[in-house]
Amino acid sequence: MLTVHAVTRRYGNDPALEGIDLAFENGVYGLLAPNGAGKTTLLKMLAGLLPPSEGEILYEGESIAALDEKYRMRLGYLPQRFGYYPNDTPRKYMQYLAAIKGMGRKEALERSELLLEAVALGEVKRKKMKTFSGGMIQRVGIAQALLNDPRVLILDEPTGGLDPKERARFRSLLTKLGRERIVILSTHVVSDVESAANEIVLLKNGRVFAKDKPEAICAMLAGKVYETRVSDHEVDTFRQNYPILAERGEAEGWHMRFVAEAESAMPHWELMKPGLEDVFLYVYRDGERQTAKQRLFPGELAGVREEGVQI
Amino acid sequence: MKTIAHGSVNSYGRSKLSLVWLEFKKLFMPKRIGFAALVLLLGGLWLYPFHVLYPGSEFKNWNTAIAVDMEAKYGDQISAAEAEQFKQSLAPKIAEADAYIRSTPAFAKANLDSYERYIKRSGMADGGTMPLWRIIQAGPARDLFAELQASFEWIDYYEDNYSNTVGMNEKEKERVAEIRSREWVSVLPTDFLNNYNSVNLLNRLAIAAMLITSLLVMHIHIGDRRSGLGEIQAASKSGVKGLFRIKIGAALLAGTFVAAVLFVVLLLAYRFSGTWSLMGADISRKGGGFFWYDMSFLQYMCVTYAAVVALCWIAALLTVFFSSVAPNYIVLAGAVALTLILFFEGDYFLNPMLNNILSVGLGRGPFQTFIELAVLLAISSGLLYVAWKRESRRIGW
Repeated sequence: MLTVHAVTRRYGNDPALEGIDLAFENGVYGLLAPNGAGKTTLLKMLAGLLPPSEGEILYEGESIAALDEKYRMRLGYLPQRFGYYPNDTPRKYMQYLAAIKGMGRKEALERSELLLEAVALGEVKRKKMKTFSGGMIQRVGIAQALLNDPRVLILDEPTGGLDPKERARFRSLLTKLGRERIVILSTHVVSDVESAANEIVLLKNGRVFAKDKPEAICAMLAGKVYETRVSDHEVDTFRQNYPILAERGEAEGWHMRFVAEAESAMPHWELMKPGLEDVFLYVYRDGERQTAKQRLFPGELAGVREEGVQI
Repeated sequence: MKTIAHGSVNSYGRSKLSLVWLEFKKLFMPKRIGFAALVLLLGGLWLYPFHVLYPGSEFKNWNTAIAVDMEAKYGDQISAAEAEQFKQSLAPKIAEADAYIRSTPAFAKANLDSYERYIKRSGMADGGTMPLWRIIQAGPARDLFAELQASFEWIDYYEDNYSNTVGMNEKEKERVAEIRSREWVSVLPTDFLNNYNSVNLLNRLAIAAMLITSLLVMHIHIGDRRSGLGEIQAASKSGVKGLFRIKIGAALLAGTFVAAVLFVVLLLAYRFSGTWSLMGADISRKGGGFFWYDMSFLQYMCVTYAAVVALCWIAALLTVFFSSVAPNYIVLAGAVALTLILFFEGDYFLNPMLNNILSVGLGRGPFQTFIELAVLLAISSGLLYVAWKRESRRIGW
């Protein structure tokens, strides 16, 4: 188990994260937040690259700082912007990283061959990486994170540059991996985690806004997501009155998806089943601050507390 | 069957040394080796081993050539009888020189009819032999006169006509007395030792070795940092601190390797200049070339070359430091260049120190070089500690 206990991280006097309490067991965890919300800071702390200003992170009950290389031996990490030498082949690159991960020569070779095949790079493993597309490079990054068969796998925006087919393959891979290890991935692409993640963590204003199963997160907006058609002359007023989740211009007026309280619903509005993207868009809509939760969920959400989450 | 989710990676068998080797190999990218070779070629540094040795008939070093001949005849320790025999063996050559002088009108005009009188005259301040010397140099007897001059120089050294102990302390005087009391004299010419020593060959080699080491090591941190490898490296088992140590090991290995390669080049230069037979000769002899310990020229080379290895380590450590702290390649190149220039040129701290370090002789205490190198190594290590702390703060705990 990986536990984040009362962690705060400040840059100067500004807190990037404050009072974070989280616990991760085997499974896939999607860390959802818009850019700049502190996802990368949290992941860097989980990877041992940044010390918390306050609090501690424990792996199997021991501080990861104290565990030092014993923790890193169990860690796989894909940074948001990971580096490589353009003249290296994926094979050579993987061999180098396997070595600094402490793997023996033979198992490094076996493992890198297996992983490059798994990310569909087996045929180009001897080509220089400078000839690769962004998606191919990202797949090399995913493969390297898995080299040492980590118990904790941390992936920061792993799907950037992947095409839809590669994304689907990646989600399937995540599901397999999550059975035997902790997989934490950050993303602002909701579909990456909607089907693959066992739990979703929403960060907002440097705090944990929610941590729960995707369906429970979606349930936050149950009975509050509607769709309707609005004429051209009504649309501006409508936008001012309701938080808009999606809108589409049509031949006559607009098709709107929005959030509203059940008691204010109009008979011609169609009640929709909320998705994770709806929650994401609602929670992180422009100008919204802490009030989102207070307004929509005045009661305590299942498994979610204001000061972090313990499920 | 092995799968991604059911991996078999449980053992962590890669030793630290193999990681050092891996980082070491990363330094030797073809482009970098090419650049280092280009710098050496443009600087003409590769020529130095050949300049100061024995580069053939055009620039023949007669002192060395005579020593090689004597070693072949008598071995590397010349006894009094052998020295006398050598003296006698010069008679036909003196006769040949006499004949040349008698047959050349310019010498008759100068009232000279023998080699002995010519040498005596040339030793006088107002001897006026310079025009005659020019005639010799332009004529067929040039080599004969050069050989005779070198032979008599050798005899002068043998007879201890050049040495003095003025300004020496008691310990040094004792050592000189010990060398003078030997029943033999080393065949090794003083020039041969001086060419290697001090500001000649050894100094040039040290400059070349430090320069190449720095050029290779420059990328060690900044290369990874600019490629964005830092975070993946920091999250690996080795971690920031482990990798920092591994990179220091790789840099030291690179310095050792560069010094070793240049040493092999040096030995090959001696081997193919026809002077290899002098390697076993003792470096101390009366008349000059005093050293604290009895050792052959080859042993002396090995011992003194250790200073070059240590200087390469210093260059490597300083370059690792700069590579770690420099924000970009321009600042890095400037810092490395400035440091090396201070080592190679001028009267500032580092250049006199470099010259001192490489001038091993009686004038300096036997441990002075060791102490100076140790100080430089300590300073470099101190700077690295600062960089290490800084790197640990940048990424890590």
